[in-house]
Amino acid sequence: MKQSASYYLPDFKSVAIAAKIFVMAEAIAVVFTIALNDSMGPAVGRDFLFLSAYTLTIATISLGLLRLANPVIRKLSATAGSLAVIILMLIAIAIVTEGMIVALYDFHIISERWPAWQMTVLVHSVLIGTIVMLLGLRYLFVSHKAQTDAKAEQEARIQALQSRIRPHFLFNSMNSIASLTRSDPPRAEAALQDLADLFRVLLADARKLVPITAEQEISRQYLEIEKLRLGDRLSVQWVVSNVPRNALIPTLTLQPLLENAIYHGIEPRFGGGTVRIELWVDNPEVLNILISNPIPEVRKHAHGRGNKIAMDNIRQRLASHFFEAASLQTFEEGDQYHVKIKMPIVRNQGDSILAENGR
Amino acid sequence: MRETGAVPAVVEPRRELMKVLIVDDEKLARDRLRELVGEIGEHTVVGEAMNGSEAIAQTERLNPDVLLMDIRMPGMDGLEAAMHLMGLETPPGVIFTTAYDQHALDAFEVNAVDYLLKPIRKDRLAKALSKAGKLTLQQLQDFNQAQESPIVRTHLSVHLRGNIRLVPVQDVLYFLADNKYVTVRTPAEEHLIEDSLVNLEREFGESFLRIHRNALVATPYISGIEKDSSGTWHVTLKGLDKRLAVSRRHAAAVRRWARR
Repeated sequence: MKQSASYYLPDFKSVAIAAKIFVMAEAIAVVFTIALNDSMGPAVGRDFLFLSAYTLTIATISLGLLRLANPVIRKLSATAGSLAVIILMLIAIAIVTEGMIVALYDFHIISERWPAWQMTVLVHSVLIGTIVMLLGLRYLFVSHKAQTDAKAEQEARIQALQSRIRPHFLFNSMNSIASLTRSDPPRAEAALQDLADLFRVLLADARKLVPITAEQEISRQYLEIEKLRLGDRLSVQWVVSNVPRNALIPTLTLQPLLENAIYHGIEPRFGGGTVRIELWVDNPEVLNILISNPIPEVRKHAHGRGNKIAMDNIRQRLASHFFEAASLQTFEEGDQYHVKIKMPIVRNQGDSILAENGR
Repeated sequence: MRETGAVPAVVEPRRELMKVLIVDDEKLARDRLRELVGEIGEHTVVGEAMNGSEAIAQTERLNPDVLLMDIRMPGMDGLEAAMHLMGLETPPGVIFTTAYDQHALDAFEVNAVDYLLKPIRKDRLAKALSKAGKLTLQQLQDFNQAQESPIVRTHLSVHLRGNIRLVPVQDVLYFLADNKYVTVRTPAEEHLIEDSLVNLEREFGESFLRIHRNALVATPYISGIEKDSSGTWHVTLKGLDKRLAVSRRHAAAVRRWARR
């Protein structure tokens, strides 16, 4: 059976969940024993035994009902399932409370079959039961979420790595450099240095903010390597206006987008084309990044998986720094494909944490 | 099979000198191959090409024995060029060169298609050249289908007296099957190719519509559908007087398409 990731309800047939329910029931008995008694006395033991019997019976019957209903509950959505769990446990509480009163009457401990406090006890038990159950479900939900979050984070890391290094680029660059070591050793040396710098950044912590000048520099180095391969087919146009030099942006915001632009926009075009990078600041203090590349004449494959991973990765990192204040949009206009990023300007100075992160 | 040359070749190196054509869109990659082939010393580089269509033209002109060909190139890519070349009477051997693509590598292995990984090593290149085998079209088609996203050819190749004539797929009005051959109709001409409508439909199905057991029509060229007095539907085409009959089995699908 398929379960969505948000489905947090456990398998009620498991031993672990039974243990949890009994421990919780016993904990409630302890809490109420303490609440009912001001001082230690013989009443404490009696109350504890009585309350334990009461809560454990409820736990046993609830568990029985939940196990019976387990196949049905697992077919429901998380919300409907939770509701079903609550209703089943409330039924258990009602049955046990009624049963207890009947038993007390049968054993002549109370004189009336329908005592005046019957309603009060029932209402109290139901209220307490509901609160405890909501807390219990909340606990299950949170622990389930912690587990899935850990899994998601791992996946995100792998994806982030893939979005940063396109092996196609790495191995083609190495081939170019291998070629240059014979024909033009100084250029081969320069290319190796650029590649080394690029990989230092690629392998560093992707969560940090860096000065925009550093990101521009690494992008330039990356573009130099691509120019080695593509020669005249790649031309690059930077248009930078009124951007403060100490503005900080998430590391590797520009470079992966340039890599996409080249991979999807320049390489497939016979005559190549121009990648245009525009950086400017709006009032109030919003940094705009616009990357444009021509759309190839023949689109052999749609913008592939690598493209989406890179975009999603940048989006995530923008959101983790700026929440809703930052955005990444893509759009086509004529024969041009654009990626536009907006983010608030954060400056290096006076903020020690950012300065440290930004190095 | 491993990367070509990775396993010691059992085949005796060829004694005869081979003519090599280098096909890559990157100048540095071509330079490197030229130098390496030169250093190996047994073969000559007879020419270079920058994409698939150039590779075909150069192959016809220079008649190389083997092509060292990149796969990812602008315009026509290496795989498509190799497919067209396989229709020649004596097709050249093809060794693909590729940077990295896990899915393509798996496909190479499965279909025993020769390939070299970039950066290219001299010893592996030497071994690959010494035992470069002949490919078949079927091998290349299987290889293509085994890739993560198979390519769709940009051209069809018509073989005339040992020459390859390339017909852009976007110029094709319709395919009409007849026994062993398929007629390819463009606004100006008709060609015969050896292929099956099933294959053509699988490859170009996105822009072609099946209207009859023996006919596939290019949807961009359809100008309308009409019913004649006998109740048979026909497709009319832009810039062509001829109407094509829609079979009863396909009538519903064609009308559904027309309503879109």
